Amino acid sequence: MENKYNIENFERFLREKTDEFKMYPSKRVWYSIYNNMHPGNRLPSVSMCIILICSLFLVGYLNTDTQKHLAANNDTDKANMLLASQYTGTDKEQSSAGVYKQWLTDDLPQNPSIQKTNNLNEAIEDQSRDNTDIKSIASKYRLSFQDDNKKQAAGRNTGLNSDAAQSNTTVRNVHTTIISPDATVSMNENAGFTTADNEPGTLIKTEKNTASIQSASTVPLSGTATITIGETQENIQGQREKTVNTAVNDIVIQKNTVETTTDTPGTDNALSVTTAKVTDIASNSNDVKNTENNATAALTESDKAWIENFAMYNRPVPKKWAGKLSWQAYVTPSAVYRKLYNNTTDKSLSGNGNGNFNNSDVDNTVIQKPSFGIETGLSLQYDLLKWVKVKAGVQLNYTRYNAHAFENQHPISTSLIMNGDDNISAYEIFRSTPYSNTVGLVPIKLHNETYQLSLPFGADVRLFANGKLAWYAGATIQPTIVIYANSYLLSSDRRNYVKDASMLNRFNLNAGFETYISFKTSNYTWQAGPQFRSQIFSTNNKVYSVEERLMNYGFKIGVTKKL
Amino acid sequence: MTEEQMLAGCLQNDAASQDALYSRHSPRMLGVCYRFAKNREDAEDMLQEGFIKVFSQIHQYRNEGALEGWIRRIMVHTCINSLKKNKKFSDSVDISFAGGIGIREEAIPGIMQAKEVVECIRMLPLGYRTVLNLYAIEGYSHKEIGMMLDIEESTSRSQYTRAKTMLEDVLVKKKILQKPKEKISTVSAAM
Repeated sequence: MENKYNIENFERFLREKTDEFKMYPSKRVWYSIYNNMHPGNRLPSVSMCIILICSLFLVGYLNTDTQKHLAANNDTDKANMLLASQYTGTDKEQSSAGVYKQWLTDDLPQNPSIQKTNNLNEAIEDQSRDNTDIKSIASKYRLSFQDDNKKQAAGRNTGLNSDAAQSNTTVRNVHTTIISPDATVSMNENAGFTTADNEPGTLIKTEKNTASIQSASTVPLSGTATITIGETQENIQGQREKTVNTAVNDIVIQKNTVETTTDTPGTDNALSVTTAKVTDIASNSNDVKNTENNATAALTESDKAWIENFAMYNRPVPKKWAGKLSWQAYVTPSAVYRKLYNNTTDKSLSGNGNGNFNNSDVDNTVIQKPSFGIETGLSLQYDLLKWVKVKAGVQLNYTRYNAHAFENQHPISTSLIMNGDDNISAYEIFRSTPYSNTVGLVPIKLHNETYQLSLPFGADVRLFANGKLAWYAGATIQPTIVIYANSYLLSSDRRNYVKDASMLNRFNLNAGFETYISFKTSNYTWQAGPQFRSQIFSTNNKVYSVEERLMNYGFKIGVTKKL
Repeated sequence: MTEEQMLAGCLQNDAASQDALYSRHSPRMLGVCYRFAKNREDAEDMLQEGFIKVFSQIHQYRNEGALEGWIRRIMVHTCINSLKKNKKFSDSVDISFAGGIGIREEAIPGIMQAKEVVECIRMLPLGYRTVLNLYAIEGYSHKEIGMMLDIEESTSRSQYTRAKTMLEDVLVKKKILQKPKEKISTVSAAM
């Protein structure tokens, strides 16, 4: 074909040809212009994003299980009574602070069928501090219901006859005295504790912060110790040998009084339990600071039935990982970018005289645009240190970028450059395709997309914390399997696209980097922050001569709950 | 919708009129932006910025020339401003020499020539390409180009000469453009 142009009319030629050239912009451009010119009538993209974010927050809020929370609050009194009246277990119990509690009791007909394991006051303190529900209290203090044999054994162990052990008990009042650190207390160390066979018992300091009541007799102690609280003297009546072990900084003295009666007709056994918990005695001084708080509650038959039922079905379950394990659900909308590289093993193709091969920078010779991607998943996190969390989980990924091309009515033949097995040579394979990269009938967007399943594992490091807010940085490695994909391969001359998913790497590896701000609420911790995810190996296998690496720039929103 | 109706609507900030104006002129204007831009994405960004300026300043259009010409000048200035934000651009317009472009010799069908010519222009180094676009296609003088790009008028001339030589070479190799016969004979005689 004879060209009518020559160099003499170069400028005219350029003007005419460039005037003929038209490109059709994507819808995004018009949307952006429209939104800019009419800010009051923004197109749905922004409002949809806002609705999506609000929905996520709403779902999170509704899932905070407020009913359980309320139920826990309503059951506080029940829990107090339960733990005050029906524990019959070990006398010495080590709390989390390493403090031994002392129980000095009268001859009360306790219900031995329920095992006492810990102290009411600690339960009340814990409950008010942690706002835990009755289930957690019951399991924490190993509340359990014993069978008949164990009931009798328990009765024998406490020196009570089986009739008394089996009698029903109604708690009338629970008096809790918490002595504040502001008050001073002096204790008569030689208080008149005596055993049942009149052997004397004495309150002795055995260590710097430990005191115990000792006696030569094997028969349980009984008697009265006098504690001076401020200007008031309080008597503590005791039975059996007890040990008082005190912590250095936990300055609390508690006195509980529980009045109970049996419901056996014709009897009216008013009972009282006086409990003293001495948690600090200064080494050379008897001054102890104290406070006082009273709580009253009543246990009805229905309450008792509920407690027994609860105890039956809530046997202790040791939680080795309690407080350290948490699960996280998250979603990361992202923009997916790609980077293309020439990966031809035959370096002789890098010249310009190799038939259909185009060695120009493949990344810039095609018109491809980033698109929307999303990652969502669940992970389990473990607090390795206060400031380090390790995590592992499962994640679904959707990646997509668009290639701007043209679709022709009739397919044309094109070729793909393949790398030889010897890593030196290359060869061409031929395909027919309706998609042209340069010119064609109908402009079309080709969606290069993958659906992936990943198993991310990594760690988060806390960089900064202030109250409920904290700032973290984290990284993950994500072994990935491609479940489904649409892949459009560039022809060797970069003029056409061939739809072919057979060149995909089924397995790949991704690296994720993120930083986020976390915010603690009562039950959940919320996280939000940017995330970068990069594909380490090419999307396509080594045979295909173009390498593709995907990069996701996203914003991660997550919610975490302690297990 | 006639051009007058579109203009009247755009003056009222009417979305339908703006849409009509955009639909009519955006394909050609994106072609203009694409010749200046690094890639299609950048070109679309330039187009977007340019049309926002067009709609914002439509009241300044005085019906003294073609509307397309007015829009085109806004687009070109938007492209130049966008390029000037990039440090690489200011370096590239001042370079005195750029390496050659490797091109495979082939015949391009007439129907594909417009696209090929634009792609060949885009293969030129950024500085050459910008000066060539402004002088040969958009019709600015070297003096105006010097002021727009903050370079000497002589620099603009030399840049254009080199750009023209380079592009001619590419277009001849692609058989889009022919060398004059006397030039070919001169080259043959020299050999």
